[in-house]
Amino acid sequence: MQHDSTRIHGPKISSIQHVPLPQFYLMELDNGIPVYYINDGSQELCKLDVVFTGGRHAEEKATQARATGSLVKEGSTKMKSSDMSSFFDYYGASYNCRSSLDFTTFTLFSLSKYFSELVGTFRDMVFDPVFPEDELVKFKKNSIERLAMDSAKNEVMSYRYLTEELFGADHVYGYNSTENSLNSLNRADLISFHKHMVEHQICTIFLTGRYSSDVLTELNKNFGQHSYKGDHKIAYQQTRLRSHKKRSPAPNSLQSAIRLGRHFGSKRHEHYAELSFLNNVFGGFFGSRLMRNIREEKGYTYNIYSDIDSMMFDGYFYIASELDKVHVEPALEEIYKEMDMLCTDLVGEDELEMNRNYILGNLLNSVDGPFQAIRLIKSAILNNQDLDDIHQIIQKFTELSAEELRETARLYLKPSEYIEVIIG
Amino acid sequence: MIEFSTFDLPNGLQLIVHQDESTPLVAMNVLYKVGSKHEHEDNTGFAHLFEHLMFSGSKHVKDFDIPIQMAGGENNAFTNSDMTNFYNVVPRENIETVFWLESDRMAYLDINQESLDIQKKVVVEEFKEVCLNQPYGDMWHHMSDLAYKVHSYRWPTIGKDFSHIEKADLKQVKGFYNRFYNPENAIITIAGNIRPDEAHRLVEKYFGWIENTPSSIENELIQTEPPQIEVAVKRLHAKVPAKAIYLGFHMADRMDREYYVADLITDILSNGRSSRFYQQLYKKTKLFSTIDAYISGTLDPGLLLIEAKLHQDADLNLAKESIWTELNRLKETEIDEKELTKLINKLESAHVYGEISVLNKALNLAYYTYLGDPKMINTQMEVYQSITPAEIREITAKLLTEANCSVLVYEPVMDEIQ
Repeated sequence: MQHDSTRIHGPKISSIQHVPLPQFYLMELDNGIPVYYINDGSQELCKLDVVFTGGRHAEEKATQARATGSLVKEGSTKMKSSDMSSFFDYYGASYNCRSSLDFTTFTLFSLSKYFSELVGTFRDMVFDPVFPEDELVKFKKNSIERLAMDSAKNEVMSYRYLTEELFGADHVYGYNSTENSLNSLNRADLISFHKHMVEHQICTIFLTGRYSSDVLTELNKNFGQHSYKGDHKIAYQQTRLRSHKKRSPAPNSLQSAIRLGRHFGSKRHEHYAELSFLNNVFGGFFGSRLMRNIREEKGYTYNIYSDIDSMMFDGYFYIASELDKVHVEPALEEIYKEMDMLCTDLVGEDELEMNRNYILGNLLNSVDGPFQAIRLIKSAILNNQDLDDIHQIIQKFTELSAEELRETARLYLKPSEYIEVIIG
Repeated sequence: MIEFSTFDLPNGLQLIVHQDESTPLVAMNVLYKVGSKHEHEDNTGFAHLFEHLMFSGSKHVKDFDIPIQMAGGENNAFTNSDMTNFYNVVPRENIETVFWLESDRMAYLDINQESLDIQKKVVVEEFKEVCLNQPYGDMWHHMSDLAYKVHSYRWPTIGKDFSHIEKADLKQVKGFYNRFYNPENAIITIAGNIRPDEAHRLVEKYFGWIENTPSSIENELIQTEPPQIEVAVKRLHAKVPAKAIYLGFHMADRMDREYYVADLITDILSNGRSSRFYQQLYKKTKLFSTIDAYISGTLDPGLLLIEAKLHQDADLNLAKESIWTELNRLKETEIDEKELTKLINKLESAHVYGEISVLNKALNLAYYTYLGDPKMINTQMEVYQSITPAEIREITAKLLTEANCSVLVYEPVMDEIQ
């Protein structure tokens, strides 16, 4: 048995004072394309991201961006799809293309010693894809089946409904793919989407890992020589739908999914730091109010959380959980009660300190090593922020008071402003 | 190459430390050599429930999350059939808090009826969310029951049935703790910005005094699974969106060279877009929406699995045949040098990438120490590199036979009228 005071009270905990932001560099390729890069760490690996802005905003048809991103990997004018897979796999490398709501991102991940061998073929994939017809047929078939599979999941349906209810079922941030929209895609749609993307937009490049200077030279040779118009503009239409309740029964399922949400804004929103902090207290981590109350004290669910989903032009704040049908109403009551408490009472000093340290500790973790660090840099750059903005957010985290948190809660945790979706 | 120092404490606790000065963080992992295979068949799911309980408080730590979050760190845990792992990552200045928490967890159980009841509810919800509310979510229940007759891998870690979890009582909790949560049954690994001698000093201070508790519980005898002699088949009609086929083949234990060969075989079949399943089955036939191969990765003899979901209009028998065609091709013809080099290059990338995070390093060191030797962390690539095409062919022929196969098939039933 140990009876000393360290055993009883635990060792002294230091507050986290400082989060060192990662050192990164900026260079321009011959054609003006910016490259943000980190060269650090001990593992001889590198990761290249080539990012085009546009995503859904540049669509003429729903799901055009997603289909283009998915099928761009299926071969270029110089190499057919299966040879391309064998080629990258042979060097132990991986390549991908993903399209999100706002961006299309091409990624190459490889051992640094093989980068020079690989970057040319990667370039061909980015600029000269062929979009084979039979691959599109396959993509549609797979996507439609997956859609049917996902539609059987209450959790997925609650997510789909929430975005539609928040932004509208035809809005760039609101719509979800349907069998019809997938079926209506044709090869010409992919070609035109891709052509517009590479000809009109300047891309942004991010490179990280530990590599020799040849990597930058090769990058310039392959991505620094083409021309582009750079005249792509995004016309964003803002929507604000009114709060309401949406319930959809799913009688054969064991658990119901709930999702509550309200509009917020992008990462540049004036209260982004405040709401991030408040989110942490409310439902952002294991020690949050929602988790402690609804999982750890009541045992209603395995998981409940809240989060901010921020896109380039807008965003929303939401709460999600899956739980037994009989727990839905009591859980909702508790969620609203927790909102109310944050609007009424001040968060205590201990809880504030715990949240602050947790957030800062998490940030430390999120910039540890070059592969983590580039994610922070990428998110900032793509959201038109610079390191000063990030410093300001961190500063806000370190000094935010209980009063400010309550003010934030009063602005964003009003139950009457939430859209409530319950499936099952 | 991961460098590390090892220390054995008089109470049987093992400590392994890897120092990495480039990070502001330290990761600490505590592995307990207990998993679902140590459970009694009438009380399955207990090891995992117990992992949940270990966050409900000990004598001096009423709540595990508050101090670790206060320290700016994170902790979590996982349980599988062989082990239970608690892991923490904190800023280096607060590492001592983790020593305090983990040693209190090991020395001072304090579970009351209320916290047991709550965690039972949480775990039952987890069971429902993961196994019952997901299409194919009960696949492991059926596959392990089909493939194993006597070994306790015949139930999944979450438990055979959630009624087992619901009936767990405090007496069992206490017995389980005394039996398994002892210094001699634990491995501590630390990776990050800390000197090995400092880690050793702190382990001595916080864990060195803890004694092993004598246990009244007999260790469950884990029986050796006899060789399978004929194909085992189970057909399910379930609420799933499409037909699915799962094939499970018995293979060797973790320390056998065959384990590595089996792992490589699953890479040939399904690692990457140039893999055989991807190119020959996913791309060329119109039968599959996904197809994958992997090994269960257990310490005792495990399974090599093939998992295929079919397109809605695809024929089940045709799909099965085409999978066997690919498997047979591996038995008939040795893979060429180019394909083998590809596999090794892919493994090398994954291996190098796996050595980036301090948490991964701590987890891996604990795992290899549990296997018997932390030095294995640095020799894995060599084993893979020494595998020959002839060996791959030989092991394929040995393992991937019909008699050694458990076949699980899902077929969709129409929804009842709502």
